Amino acid sequence: MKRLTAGPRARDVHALANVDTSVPFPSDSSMKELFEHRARRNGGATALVHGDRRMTYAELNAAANRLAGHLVRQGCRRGDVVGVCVRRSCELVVALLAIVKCGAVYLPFDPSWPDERLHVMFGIAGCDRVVTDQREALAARLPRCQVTDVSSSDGDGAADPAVAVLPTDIAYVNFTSGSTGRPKGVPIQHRSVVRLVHDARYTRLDDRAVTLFLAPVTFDAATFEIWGALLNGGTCVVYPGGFVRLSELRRVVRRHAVSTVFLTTALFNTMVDEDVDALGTVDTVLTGGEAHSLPHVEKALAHYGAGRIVSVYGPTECTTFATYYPLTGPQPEDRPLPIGRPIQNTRVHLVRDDRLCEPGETGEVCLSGPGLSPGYLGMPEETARRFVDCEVDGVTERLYRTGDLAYFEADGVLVFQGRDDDQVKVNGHRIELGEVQHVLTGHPDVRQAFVTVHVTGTGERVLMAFAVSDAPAEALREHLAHRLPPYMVPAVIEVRASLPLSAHGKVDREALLSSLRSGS
Amino acid sequence: MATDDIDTIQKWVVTTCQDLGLSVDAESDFFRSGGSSLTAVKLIARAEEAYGEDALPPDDLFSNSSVREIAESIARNGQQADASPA
Repeated sequence: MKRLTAGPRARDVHALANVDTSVPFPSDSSMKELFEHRARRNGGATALVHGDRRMTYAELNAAANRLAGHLVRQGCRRGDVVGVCVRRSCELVVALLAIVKCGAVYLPFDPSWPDERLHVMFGIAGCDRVVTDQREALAARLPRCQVTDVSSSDGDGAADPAVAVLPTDIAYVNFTSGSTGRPKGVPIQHRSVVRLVHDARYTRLDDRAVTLFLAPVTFDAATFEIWGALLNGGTCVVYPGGFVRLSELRRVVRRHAVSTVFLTTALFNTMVDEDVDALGTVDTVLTGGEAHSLPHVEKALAHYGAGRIVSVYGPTECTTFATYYPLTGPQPEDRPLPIGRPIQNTRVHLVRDDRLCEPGETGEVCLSGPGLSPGYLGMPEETARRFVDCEVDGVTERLYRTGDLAYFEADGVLVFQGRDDDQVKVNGHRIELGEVQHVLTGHPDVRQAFVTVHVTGTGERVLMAFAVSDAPAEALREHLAHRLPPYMVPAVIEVRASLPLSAHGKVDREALLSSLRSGS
Repeated sequence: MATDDIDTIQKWVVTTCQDLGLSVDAESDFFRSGGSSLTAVKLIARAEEAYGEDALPPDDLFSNSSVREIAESIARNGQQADASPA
């Protein structure tokens, strides 16, 4: 086992950053138990809202029990993986809860993802069962799956399924981009979700909390949005449409008195530009996913006041959020917005050359605690590379190496410094450029390819591909669209006779992008 | 409230898209000109500001995204003065 050394200054700043982060939480309870406890204790409280429709905890519990009853009768067992593809509605949450109640694992997916991608994901996760509101369309696309309508039901829903679910059982699987051309399945345990939402420090989560389920269910922000309310006795408001409109966002948060909202950095900036007051009635606006723009943050701070905007950070592998930084005042202009300190029951270590970093020294962000995934599905080598047991100050810690770089301020606050590889974030989506490049070079007519991030005239970050190819750009786009989800297909694909190389023989990104600007 | 005819609306679409950083003309397609889902959020917010709530439904924009079609959607869905007298 690797041993991490630490000088006195490094030891001090780590102690400061991680002070009091370990707090009691119901680590021996599953999500099933915690939700059912809420339903028994306060069944009349509002659990879910979607448009004009409301469901109490008792109604939601019964609906989930009926669907769970059907799934169990069909043979769904504890540990089985069940795909979920349901439009944004109360039924979507019923489906997730029903699967959790079976002790099974939900795998949310989007119908816009190509068949080949779904096939690969389902193979990795061992998923042969799907719950959906689009039964016919999916049954045709997924011939090997048992496709169940989300409205299926069995029994009156009065009794909770008699399945013993352990806190270490897997609750869901999210897929994330993998640089080798294969998506990585990240399984998350029940206790990791409980750790995320119990006694939360980054926002108030209790029986008065009203969260907004705004993120696509395939994003792990949805974990916070749904379970942050439902495991605490609060209310989860399901955003009505699949596409966010600022006018609708403004209306929905006011109508339902939403108390906490998470926005990706890109959407946060858009809101600040177009309608900064859209979330004016909300207690806490959480935002993260990409490096923040200080001018946007300052404008929002001036409008919302101290303590209401919270910068959050966390990879899927550590269950949604790992660190948080509430904005309490103006930020120094020469420093990126910090990602802050660990949330409850999460520890952070900055590692460089097998030692802990001192304040100001850049190292890799390594996370530990009960939020960590057990490791990638079916990828023991990648898991061993990223999830490592280390001895830190005589204590054995299982660390997740994020690949994110950061440094500590003297007060133990973390400042993000980019990546140590070519993983990028585009509009909240985590993308390995290598995966897109891998798929692109898999086209028989592509001799060389380069994929990068380009900042457009609108100030947005988009994926951009350059290819040396006999096939036209449209054929390459089709090739990619057949294999990758839409957000991984580059906005622009340029076919070139050759790619410029730098002195080191690598593709010269700057030369490529400037050739684009000059229109050659 | 706007009583704009389709050509005036089309000019508004072109000007607004250009203001959002896209190089478009009357013949362009919003998404093929580099419009992303975030630019769409902005365009819809501005259409609603100029032509009223639901002036540009997202489903319309995503299924018919030429400048002309966007203008047609706004003409159909925007609040015209004769429908809601000021």
